[in-house]
Amino acid sequence: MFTLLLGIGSFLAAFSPNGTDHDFKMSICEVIYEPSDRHFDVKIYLFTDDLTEALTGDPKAALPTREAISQYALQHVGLQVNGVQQTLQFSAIRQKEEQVLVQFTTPSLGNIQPATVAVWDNIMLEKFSGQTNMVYLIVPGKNKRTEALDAKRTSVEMKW
Amino acid sequence: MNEFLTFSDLGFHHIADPRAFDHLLFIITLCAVYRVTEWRKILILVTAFTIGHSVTLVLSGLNILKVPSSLVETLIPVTIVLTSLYNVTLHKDSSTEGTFSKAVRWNYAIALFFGFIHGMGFANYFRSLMGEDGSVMWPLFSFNVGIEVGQLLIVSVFFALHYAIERMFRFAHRDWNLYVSGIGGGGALVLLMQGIFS
Repeated sequence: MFTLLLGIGSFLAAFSPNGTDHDFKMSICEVIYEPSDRHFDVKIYLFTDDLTEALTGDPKAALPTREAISQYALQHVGLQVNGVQQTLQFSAIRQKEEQVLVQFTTPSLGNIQPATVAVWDNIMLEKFSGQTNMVYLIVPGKNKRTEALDAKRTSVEMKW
Repeated sequence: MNEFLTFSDLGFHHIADPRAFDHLLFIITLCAVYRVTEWRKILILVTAFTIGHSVTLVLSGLNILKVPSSLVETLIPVTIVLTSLYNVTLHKDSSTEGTFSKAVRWNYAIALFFGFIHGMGFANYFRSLMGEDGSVMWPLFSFNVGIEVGQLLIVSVFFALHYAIERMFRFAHRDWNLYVSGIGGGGALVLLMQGIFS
């Protein structure tokens, strides 16, 4: 019994753990090529509470306006195709369970065949140093590319 | 390969993250009653936990099974507390019993059933990694592989420490069980209180 109490006591006394604090500071950026009209769709998934905290300082605040959210996303996410910076045009925002999905599209590439895609994504890093931003490049007929960006690496170039 | 490495790395760090040790605490509490020499029982135990959490990880990862994350996060420390209490109050010394004795079978059942709950916890994290497009099967498999590697590492380190400490300090196994189970139960109670009052 002494040993049992010692074990319990030493653990409780040693520190106050927050042992369920899994690293849920994540976002997803899907970059999807649409060959039908040769443009890219960019879908950014952000946890609602993290987004409101980043924009208002309070994770429980009401969701900011569409304009505020899209502007925030555009300040932190960019796309280059074949070395040319793409203009991301806001298309939609919707909520998906605990996440907010912000959608952008690029203009048509015309006759240009995409050979390299570079994505930079440092969203939420100004607020959460442990933030991980997953980037998925989805091109029909090609293997899906997956990259995990963080504070140490905020951009990636992918070729196919 | 890139996708496999990314997701298996995420799975590994999810279970082996010392900052978020609920799963880690459960595994060591589960293993507390065993000696290093009982490796067959440990292998079956770990396999039972793996089967349990893999089932619910896949079902939840595919959105077939949906359980509120707040409920899962509350149940996980409960599994640790219950395992700790079982170790201390009900478990008999298994060293003289066979691999499939009644007391040992209960351990396997606990590992399997509580594995279901931990799998849902893994799935909550996994779902936060996925978008709407593309298949989830390969990332799900890769993520689970990472969890298994992390689990094996935790068990290996735990028993290596057990062996070293037992030899160095001549700990009686009964005391080792009480101490580790006490740590597991105490830590889980703190996690539970934090979850309830946060």
